[in-house]
Amino acid sequence: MEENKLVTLKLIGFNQESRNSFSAVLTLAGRALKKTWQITEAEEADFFLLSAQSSATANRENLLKGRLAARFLFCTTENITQENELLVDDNHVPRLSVLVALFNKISASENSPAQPKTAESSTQVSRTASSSETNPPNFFDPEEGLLGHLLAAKHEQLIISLSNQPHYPALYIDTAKNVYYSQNSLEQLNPYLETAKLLNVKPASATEIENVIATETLKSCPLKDLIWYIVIKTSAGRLIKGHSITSNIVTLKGWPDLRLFKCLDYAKVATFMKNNAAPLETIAAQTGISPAELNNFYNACYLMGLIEPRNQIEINKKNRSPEHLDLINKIDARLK
Amino acid sequence: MKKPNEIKFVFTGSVGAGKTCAIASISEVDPVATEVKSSEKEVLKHKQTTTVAMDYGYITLENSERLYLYGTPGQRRFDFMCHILTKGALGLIILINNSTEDPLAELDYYLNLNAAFLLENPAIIGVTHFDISDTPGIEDYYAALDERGDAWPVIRVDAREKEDVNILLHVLVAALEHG
Repeated sequence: MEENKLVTLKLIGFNQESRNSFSAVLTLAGRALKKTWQITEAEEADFFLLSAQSSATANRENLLKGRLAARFLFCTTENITQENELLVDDNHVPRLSVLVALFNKISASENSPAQPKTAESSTQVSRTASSSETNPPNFFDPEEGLLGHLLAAKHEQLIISLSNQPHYPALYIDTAKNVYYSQNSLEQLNPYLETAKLLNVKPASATEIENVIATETLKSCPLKDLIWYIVIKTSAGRLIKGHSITSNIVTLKGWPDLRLFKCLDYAKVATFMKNNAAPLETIAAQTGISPAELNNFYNACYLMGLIEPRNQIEINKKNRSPEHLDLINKIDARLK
Repeated sequence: MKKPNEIKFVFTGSVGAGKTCAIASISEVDPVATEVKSSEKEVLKHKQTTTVAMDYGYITLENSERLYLYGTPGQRRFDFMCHILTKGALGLIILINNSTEDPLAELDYYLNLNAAFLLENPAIIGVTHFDISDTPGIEDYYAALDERGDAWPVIRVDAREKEDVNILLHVLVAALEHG
C-alpha cells in the first residue's frame, strides 16, 4: 500500500451510536495514523471491522468467504486473544493508542490490499470524511499542536517542554490517570498553544513522572480541563474538521462542567442545546450567540463526548411573554 | 407581569448545605436570617445554629425592582415552608451537602418535595462541601438525575463564595430563557 493513500474501512454490526463514537475516535486518531483512514458505506472496503456482537457470532465465517482474512478486524470487549482484534468498551469506543497501534500495523502489513481500490469509487462515506461541503478550508483540526499530542498520545505518560524556552516549566501528562501536572495556571500554559513546532514531546515512565511530582511543587489537574481550555483558546471560531453548521443536527447529551474556562458564557447555549436538537446555524439564531463562539463551544463539547447526533430537528420552545423575557434580561444584566 | 415583590429565587436543601451562606454572599443587604441554636442531634452534626423559618435577602435590578432570595429551613419538620416560599418563585436552587451520609438521597428528597413546582419551573443543583468529601462525584449526581428523568445542571460550589453563587444564579437564568 502506498504511503498517504486513503484506506477505507467498513463497519459491520455497528448501531448509529457506536458508529458515531467509533468515527469520532478515528478522526482523533488521524494524526497518529500512518495512512488516512475513511469509513465507507460501500460494499467493498480495504478493511472490515466487525462489532463485538458480530464478531461473536457464526456470521464471521460467512463474511470471510472469498475474502482475504487479513482484511477483517474484530472488536472485543474482553481480553485480546488474536492479532486482528481491537479492544473496545461497551459503546465500541477503543483507546486511541490501541487503535493507532493496530491500524498502523495492519496498513503496513504485506497481507493488506495492494491498492486501496475502493476509496475512489466509494460514493457514500461517513460524516467524518473530508469533503468540500463539510470541510471548509478554514476548519479546526484537533489533530494539530498540543491538543493532537494529548488526544493521540501513544504513551501513557508524556513530558512536554518548549524548545525555544528550555527553562519554561514543563508539562507532565498522565493519560492513564487522566491528569496533567504543572506548576502553572491554564493561562500560563498559553506558550504551549502558540506553535506546534516548538513542542518537545517525549515519552516518560510512570516512575519518572512520580519522581518529578515528588520533588517539584506541581498541581494535579484533570486532563479534561486542559483539553477544554486548549479547544476554546485555539478553535478561533472555526468548526471542527468534518462537521457542518447546516447538516449536522445535534443535541447535548450531558452538561459540560460549567466551571470550566469560559463555560459560564455558554450557559444559555448549553441550556438550549440540552433541551433541543438542531443544526448549529439554528442554535446560533435561537440563542443569539455568534456562530464563531458557538463553534468554539461545539468543538469543546464534541471532544468531551457531549454531542449527540440526531436525525430530526426538535425545538421545544416555550412561549415566553415579552415581560418575562424583559425580566430575565434584567436579572441577567444584574448578575454580570 | 409579576409584581416587583414577587420576583424571587428560592434556595433549598439539607441542613448545613449552605443556604444561609449563599444568600449572605450575594445579597445587597445583610440577610434576615432566622437562625437559632440547634438542639437536634442530627443538626448538631453539621452546625451549631439552624434556620427555623426562612432566610431572606435581595439584589436590586433596574428600576429599583428587587430580586428576592429566600432560603428554606433545612430541618424536615419545616418542609411546609418550602411550598409557601416557592409559590410564585422563578426558579429553585437546590444545595446538597456532599459530606452528609447520603447526598444522593438528599437530592432525591428535595426533588420529590418540589416536584409540583419543578413541573413548570427550572432548578439548578449546587453541590457544597466538596472539600470535605469528593464522593459522590458530579457524574454520580448526573446519573441519579438521569435515573429520575431529570436534566437539571449540577455545579460544585462553595456557598461562601459570591462568585460561585453567582454562577448558580446565572445558569438558572439561562434555564429560565431556554429551559
